[in-house]
Amino acid sequence: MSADLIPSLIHLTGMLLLAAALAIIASPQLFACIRLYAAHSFLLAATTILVACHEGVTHLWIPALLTLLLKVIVIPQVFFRMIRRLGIRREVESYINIPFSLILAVALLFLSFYGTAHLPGLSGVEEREFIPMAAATVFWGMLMMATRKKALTQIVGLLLMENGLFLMAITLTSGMPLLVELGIFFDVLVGVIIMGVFVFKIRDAFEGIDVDDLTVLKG
Amino acid sequence: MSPIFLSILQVILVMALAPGVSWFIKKLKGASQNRVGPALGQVYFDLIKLFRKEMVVSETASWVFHAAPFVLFASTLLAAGLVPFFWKETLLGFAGDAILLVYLLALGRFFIALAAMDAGTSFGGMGSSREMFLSSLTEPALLLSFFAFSVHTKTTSLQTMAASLGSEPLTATLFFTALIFGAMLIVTLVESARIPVDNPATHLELTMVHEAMILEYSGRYLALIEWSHQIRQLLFFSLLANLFFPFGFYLLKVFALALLVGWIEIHSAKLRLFRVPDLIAIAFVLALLSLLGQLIIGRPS
Repeated sequence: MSADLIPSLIHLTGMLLLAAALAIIASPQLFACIRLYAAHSFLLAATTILVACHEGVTHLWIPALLTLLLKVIVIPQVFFRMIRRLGIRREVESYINIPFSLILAVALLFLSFYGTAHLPGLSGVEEREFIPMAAATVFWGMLMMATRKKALTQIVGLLLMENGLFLMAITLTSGMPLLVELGIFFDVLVGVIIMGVFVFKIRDAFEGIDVDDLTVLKG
Repeated sequence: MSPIFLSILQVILVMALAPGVSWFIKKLKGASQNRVGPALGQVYFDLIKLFRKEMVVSETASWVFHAAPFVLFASTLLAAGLVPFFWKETLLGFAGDAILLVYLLALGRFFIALAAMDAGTSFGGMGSSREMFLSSLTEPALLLSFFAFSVHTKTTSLQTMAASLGSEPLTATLFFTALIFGAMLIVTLVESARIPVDNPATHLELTMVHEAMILEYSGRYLALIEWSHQIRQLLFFSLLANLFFPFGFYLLKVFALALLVGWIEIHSAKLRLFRVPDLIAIAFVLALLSLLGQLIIGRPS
């Protein structure tokens, strides 16, 4: 039972990760978007713990707990703080509407599925399953960054990409060396803070965080 | 008892049970609003009262107006003959599958939409246009959910599907059924005209979808329409119960699902009509994701 249960739970969390990432793309409100990002990160931590149990790699627990601490609690709080200080309510504006971006997302999922079908050197079942999922998550992050008008949702897109990369690293290599992991987490945190400062600067310069306004900087 | 007798009994009992499930949701809503809510007999008395009442028929109405309630009721009953309720065999399972089920429901809906325009009121036309708009989006989502099951069970027949899912351990199929459950729950909300999509309790012209279509109906015809609507709702609950939870006691499962739907209805506001496609798009994407997930996870190395 137990030997059977963990792989099926890994499958389930994998699918839920996809669903949560799609929900981030589909959500019309910034608050919901960030909460969903927290949920996505939580699922990522759950996947990490399950993989750790399944493969018997104990040092994966540390990145899992760090994910839980940093991406589920700290980064959303930083975001909420930014939103409060910027005084914005609902700020998800996109160049394309939600159903169309969902269709694009599914097309990207197909692309990553068929694109990774014949990669050499993949052996384990989990690797074969999670490579397309992780690639799709990275693509979706890119999609968000490319189609959103506001800086905050673009940051969420970047974080989604990072989550995809993390998923790929966890399932492909059973975890990188601890030092590298810590470096990445630190990078993400500092990245978010720097981008937060950047958002405030955009707001001060243009009285809004619509990145379209940046085009007026051209000579 | 012979299987045929049991499957006929099944359809009859479903006809009897369907208003009861509606009553349960009404009672739940009542309790949430500090009201007592209707008594159990009330839903049945309402139907009986409507069957006895005189009908008022619009002068412009043609035969479509008179035929539509019967077509709706008959097609809903036929559809009920395809779905396993508490007995694993279905009455018409030898003749049709999930695809027929979807199109039998579409047939009834098509006739009601025609009849609503036939009566010559502006509300009818508006209701028809809204209903067709929504159903053109839900149908692909529903079909895709069935196909996601078909990929796994290698059949489109509902009774074989339910039996084959029941024979497997739940953990082996959880990863894709969890997503289809989400998709089919949304489809159920749309099909049974529940609150995030449509409000079954009001005649408010701005928001109504289903009610706008049947506004011109009265008496016997209205009773038939209401009843088939209740049967359709129970039919979707039973589909959810039997496909996703192939264990436990049938009535318990159906009322648990009614509780879930009632809970959603209590805790959510009605969506603006043009936001509903987003909700249905989520159902569609979930079904598609579960289909694709089966390809990814079952991929031979």
